[in-house]
Amino acid sequence: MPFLGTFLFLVPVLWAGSVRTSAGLVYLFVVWGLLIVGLALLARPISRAEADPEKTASHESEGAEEP
Amino acid sequence: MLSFNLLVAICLVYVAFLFFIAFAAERQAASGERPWLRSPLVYTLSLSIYCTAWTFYGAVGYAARSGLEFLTIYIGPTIVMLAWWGALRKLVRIGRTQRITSIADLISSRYGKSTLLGVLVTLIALIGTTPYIALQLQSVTLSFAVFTEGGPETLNSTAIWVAVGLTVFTIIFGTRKLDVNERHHGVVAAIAIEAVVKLIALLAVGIFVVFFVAAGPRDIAALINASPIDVWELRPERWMTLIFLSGAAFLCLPRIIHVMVVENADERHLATASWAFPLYLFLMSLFVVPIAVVGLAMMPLGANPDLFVLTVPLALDRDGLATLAFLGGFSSATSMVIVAAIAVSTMVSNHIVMPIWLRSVPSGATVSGDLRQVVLVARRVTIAAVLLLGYLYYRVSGGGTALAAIGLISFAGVAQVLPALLGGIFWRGATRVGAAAGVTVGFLIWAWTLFLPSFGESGVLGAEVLAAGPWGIAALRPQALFGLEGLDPLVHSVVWSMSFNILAFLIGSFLSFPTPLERLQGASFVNALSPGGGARSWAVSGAGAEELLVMSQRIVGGRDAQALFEAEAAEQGKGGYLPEVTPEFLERLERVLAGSVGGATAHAMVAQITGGASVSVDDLMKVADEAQQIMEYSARLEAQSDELRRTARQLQVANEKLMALSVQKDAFLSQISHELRTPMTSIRSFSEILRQSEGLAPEDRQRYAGVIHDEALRLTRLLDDLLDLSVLENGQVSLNTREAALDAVISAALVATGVEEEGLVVRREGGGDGVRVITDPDRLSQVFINLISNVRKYCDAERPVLRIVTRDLGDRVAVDFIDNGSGVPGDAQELIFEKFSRLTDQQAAGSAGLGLAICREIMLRLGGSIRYLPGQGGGAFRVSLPRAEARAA
Repeated sequence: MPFLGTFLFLVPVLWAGSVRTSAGLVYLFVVWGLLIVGLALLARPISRAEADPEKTASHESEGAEEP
Repeated sequence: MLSFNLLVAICLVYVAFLFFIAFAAERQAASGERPWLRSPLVYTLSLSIYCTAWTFYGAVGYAARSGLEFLTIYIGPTIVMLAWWGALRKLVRIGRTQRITSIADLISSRYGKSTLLGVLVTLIALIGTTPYIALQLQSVTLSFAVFTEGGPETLNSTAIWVAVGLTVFTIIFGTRKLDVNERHHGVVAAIAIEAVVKLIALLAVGIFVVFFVAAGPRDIAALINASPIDVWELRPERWMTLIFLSGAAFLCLPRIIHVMVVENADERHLATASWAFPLYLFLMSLFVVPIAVVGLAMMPLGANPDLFVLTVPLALDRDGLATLAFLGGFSSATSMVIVAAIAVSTMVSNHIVMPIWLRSVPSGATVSGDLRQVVLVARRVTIAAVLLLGYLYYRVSGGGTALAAIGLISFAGVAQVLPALLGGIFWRGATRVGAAAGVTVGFLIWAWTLFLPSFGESGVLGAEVLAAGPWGIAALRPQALFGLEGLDPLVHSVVWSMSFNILAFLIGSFLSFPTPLERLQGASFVNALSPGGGARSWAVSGAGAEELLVMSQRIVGGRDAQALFEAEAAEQGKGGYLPEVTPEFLERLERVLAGSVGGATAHAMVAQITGGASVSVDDLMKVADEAQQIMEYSARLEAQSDELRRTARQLQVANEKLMALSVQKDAFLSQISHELRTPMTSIRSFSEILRQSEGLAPEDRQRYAGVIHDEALRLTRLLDDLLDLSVLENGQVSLNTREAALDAVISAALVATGVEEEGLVVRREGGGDGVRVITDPDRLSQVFINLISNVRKYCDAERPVLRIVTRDLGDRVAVDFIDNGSGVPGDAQELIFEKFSRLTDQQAAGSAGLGLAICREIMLRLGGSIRYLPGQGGGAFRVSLPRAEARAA
């Protein structure tokens, strides 16, 4: 997730100067909304797994964030 | 238009409402039931203190000036939230298990509870927070100013009153008590309410702007295309730097760590916050661009875009909406200031005041008196001081545009903690030296390249320093360090400070060696999420439970401390209040204390009582890498089994020896009783004859008495021999060692035995007067006498001949006694030196089989040896002994 998010939010760098604000606005908010939905969908099974301690060991630290 | 007084009244009512909420929350928490306080929603809302007045008002202004770039401030935290499972969850877990009280505490605890790092991070936080607080004061003051026509005096007095009001609120709810968990339910409740208010306010203004001022989203799109920010002028380096900075700040800002880690009541809340908080940010920024473009379109040219949120509704005579927007901004400012002040004051009291206090008061932790008062007073004073500093900064900086940029400058400052923080929770090799070096270097570069220049050319750094560098060194120009020109100052500073920060951190970590406590803490931080108990940092010590109780009472209060000690004692199966001071107990106690005064201070206090912390090897073993652990374990097993094998072998040898000894002893006993009984029998029978027979002829009597006498002599000799042997064997014999001529000793022995008169032929070879030895001549001659008389007793040749050969063996001299008899058979050659060993039945008078045993012992004591010498054509014994240093002339 963090890597996908970082990538998606860095895509506009490739378009630098060639895109209108309105289009960029729409792109960023759509990406943002999708990521939030993704997080919400992930959070549910994860917190359920959390309650069930046996499953927790399988997901360990996924590493750093930031570009 | 609203009157200023009405606005103040609304503010006061709002603040009173917040007070009420906070009090209600505190009361609910105190009564033990806090269902809504524990909800993940409140947690998520409390995280929203990320959105300060700077984002509330400033985002619109930012959008009006630079277009979409303002979004980076929200995208950064969103990306961090995307990594919540790996990073944030770990932080929260660490915060809970280690009872972290602040970011400074987190860093200091990770690096071996280092006071130095605590102070460093606290200073950075203080320097980073003060301008930020000034920014909040400015925005509240400006928003007040929108409603009034007051001059600068009114503005200043407004700022003062806001600062005072915030101080009072923060002190009341932030330092009411010293909680072992450092949680402030009242404050959390209040900032959750404020979060709702600011969201609703911004959404309300946004909806109003989109649907009532403009004609829906399409119209807004048209407005955007017609506005000055029509083309998205994205500067890649700024875009990336800002996303990085805001993400870093979200992890490092003291106030965020405070609500996210310290105030966290349940780890699962993070799962909800992982999507709910980005959603909050999403909603907060959704209407920013519409408000900005509408404001740009309808407001006069010189209008401050930072205040569009207020001025647009006001211009359209929507007083109610404007008031709501004002309250939103007010909420953003106050919640940030309150939490930041609490966080910073906690750091200052735990990492600066307490260590100084501990050091300045003789015998620190052990004196009596309530320490909580000291801590609380320190915090209250700090809160007031932080707000005062913020106010002064606001006054000094003139509240101008210089402040507007301070948000990002502040971000860049606190981001210097990031490498140490992330390195601390993901990399076990990170050390205190590395962290301190990284933070210091990064902070200095940040100060030089960004913070100091931010005061402008009239500020700390003059225009010429900015243009030409200090002392004319162009490479050190604050905004073109090492000749890197043409970059945006912020990007320039972040690039340099973070690169050098990380570099110093890595180099410092690689070159330094962590202390045991650091290793332990490092392992428990890095492995915070893996199941299994953490390691202890206390070895068993002689600390008195009573002293610990006295100290704990002073920090967490009598009731809590006694309850803790009593529970611990009960768990250990003891009554009363004084449990055994086990390492586990010390560890738990330290954590509890850390919740009140921070890890480093708690550690220092416990260490004062227990006489220093020590980490045992077993503890370190516990935290070794798994692979390393397995290796260590198998190595240990191997060593153990080797050891066992060795021991088993030794035991076996010892056992054999013992068995042999036991057999020997039995044999010895039976031998000796036999030897004693034979003469005793004859003595008894002859004495009986003497006693009973009256008319015994005198010559018979003489003969019998002679026999008794002989037997008694034999007994005496036997006993003498035994005594001699036992003395020799026990090493109790005192030797009269001196230099002597070997020949003389042999001659004396020959004379003493008188064998030559009895017809034994003695031939002497070699030697001569020249051979001198260092020995006890009496004892040596005893050996010779024994050997010579053995020849007389056992040599079965018809004409016995004894050869005595003296040989030179370098540093030793050997004397061989060789006869012409049949000698000793091979298998008995070793046996003859044992006690009571006799080869033949020829019971020569007086022989108890002790002679050679005695000889062997004597030679051992003299530093020589006696051996049977086979293959000499008869019985042969070699006596060898050390020669005297210099051969006499």
